[in-house]
Amino acid sequence: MFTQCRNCAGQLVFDPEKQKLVCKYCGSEFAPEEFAQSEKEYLLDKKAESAQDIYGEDAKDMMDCYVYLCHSCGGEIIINGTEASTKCIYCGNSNVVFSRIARHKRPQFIIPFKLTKDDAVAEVRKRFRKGMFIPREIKNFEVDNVRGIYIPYWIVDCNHKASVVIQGQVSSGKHTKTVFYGRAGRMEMKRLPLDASKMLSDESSSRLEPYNLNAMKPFDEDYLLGFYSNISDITYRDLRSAANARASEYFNEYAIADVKGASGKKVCKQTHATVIDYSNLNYAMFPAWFVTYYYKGQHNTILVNGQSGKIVCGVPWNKVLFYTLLIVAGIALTVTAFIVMRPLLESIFTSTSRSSSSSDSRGKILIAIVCAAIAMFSFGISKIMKVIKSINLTQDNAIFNFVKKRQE
Amino acid sequence: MIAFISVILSIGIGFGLACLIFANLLAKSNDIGNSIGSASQYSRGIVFDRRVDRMKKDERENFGLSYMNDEKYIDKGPAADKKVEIQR
Repeated sequence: MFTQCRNCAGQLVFDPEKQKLVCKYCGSEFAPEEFAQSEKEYLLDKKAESAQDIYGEDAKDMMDCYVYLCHSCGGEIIINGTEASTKCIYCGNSNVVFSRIARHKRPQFIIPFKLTKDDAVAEVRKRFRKGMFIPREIKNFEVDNVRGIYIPYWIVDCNHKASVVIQGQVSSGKHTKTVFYGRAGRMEMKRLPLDASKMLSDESSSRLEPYNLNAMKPFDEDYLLGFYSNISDITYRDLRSAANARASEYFNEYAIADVKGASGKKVCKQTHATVIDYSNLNYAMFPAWFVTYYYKGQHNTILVNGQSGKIVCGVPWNKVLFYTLLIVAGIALTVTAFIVMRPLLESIFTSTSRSSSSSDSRGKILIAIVCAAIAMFSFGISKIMKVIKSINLTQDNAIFNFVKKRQE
Repeated sequence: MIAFISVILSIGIGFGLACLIFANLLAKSNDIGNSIGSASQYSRGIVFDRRVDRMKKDERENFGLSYMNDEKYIDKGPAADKKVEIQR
């Protein structure tokens, strides 16, 4: 499908900055709503064939690819099984594979791109400049690829019921003991967005949130012009388990917050049930920019929320700088701690009292210091592990393929 | 002896604190956008029907068993036509 300019019949593309369709040739601008369905030229893709039909046995490795003809130049457009809009490799024009949207459930809503490609890259560079441990090469990274992709989402209303047992530590006098708390309840979830693309991990897509759902517009294919897009490829079972996972996470958060007077709280036993209101299920497309760059032979994919500009990525760090500063600070803090601790310990250990209660309190002080050191190490290491996990997500092949394996 | 203990404990505290501080600085600098939509944004009307504090072992094991046994909360999936629509 493509929408022609009323003045010169050139192709229109959606401009996020102007929030209008702009003619690439004469510069005319139109609001997407101005065009009635009858004015749109649909790509007659009834002849769409699988790559294997066209190229025979040699195309075995092109699994789930479909060949369409570009409406502008007649060149072949090869897309995978879930793409709904792409660009022609020969003339660069945008193509919305309309029959794909028509044959599948048509999205009801769309959040149009607000950020332009340049804005997205500028936001990333601005954020990288603030990073203390981001290497200089990354701060001045060379963009390998920037793609604007509409991600399919299901917007779900559901009821959640759960019972959880929470374990916490409670101090009573000199002792600390483990106490268990039970919480069972119900929760209503409204307009919960769930990523409907199997190719993009739920972890990446949920980190792109929040999207302002009040800015959703009724779906129009014109918003896809100039961008890539995917259609939903999940089953209702996938949808149900995704809704259950998100609702469980939120319920546990509330249940833990409801337990007062305990520390180190965590859920140790849980049962969850989620019922989706299938009569009020909405299918929408949300915008995201995918910016890729190479660093030390690894491809990294940065996600930018196409509406709010929120950046999602883990950035490899300057290890030399990090460990040097860590060791220097460690030595400085050790010396400081020694200066404070030695007279303190001397006064405690050389006190005249030799009663069992005073030796008890000496032992407690030593244990408290050792526990504090262990706690600080473990909190620090768990933070570093989270950063590493985030970097691994950014360097994941699945997300890279989601972006890269599309026509330029 | 006290000097030795002081040195060991100081190393633990000094490097532990440095590890904590720099791990937080690293997360702030290099882990960008590590958050998902907040619970309050999508959920409303949370009601706790049962609250038990300081549970005993048998209470813990049986907690919520009868509560979760509710027909209303068994997702039977969408109607056949809707199922096709979602999976299409």
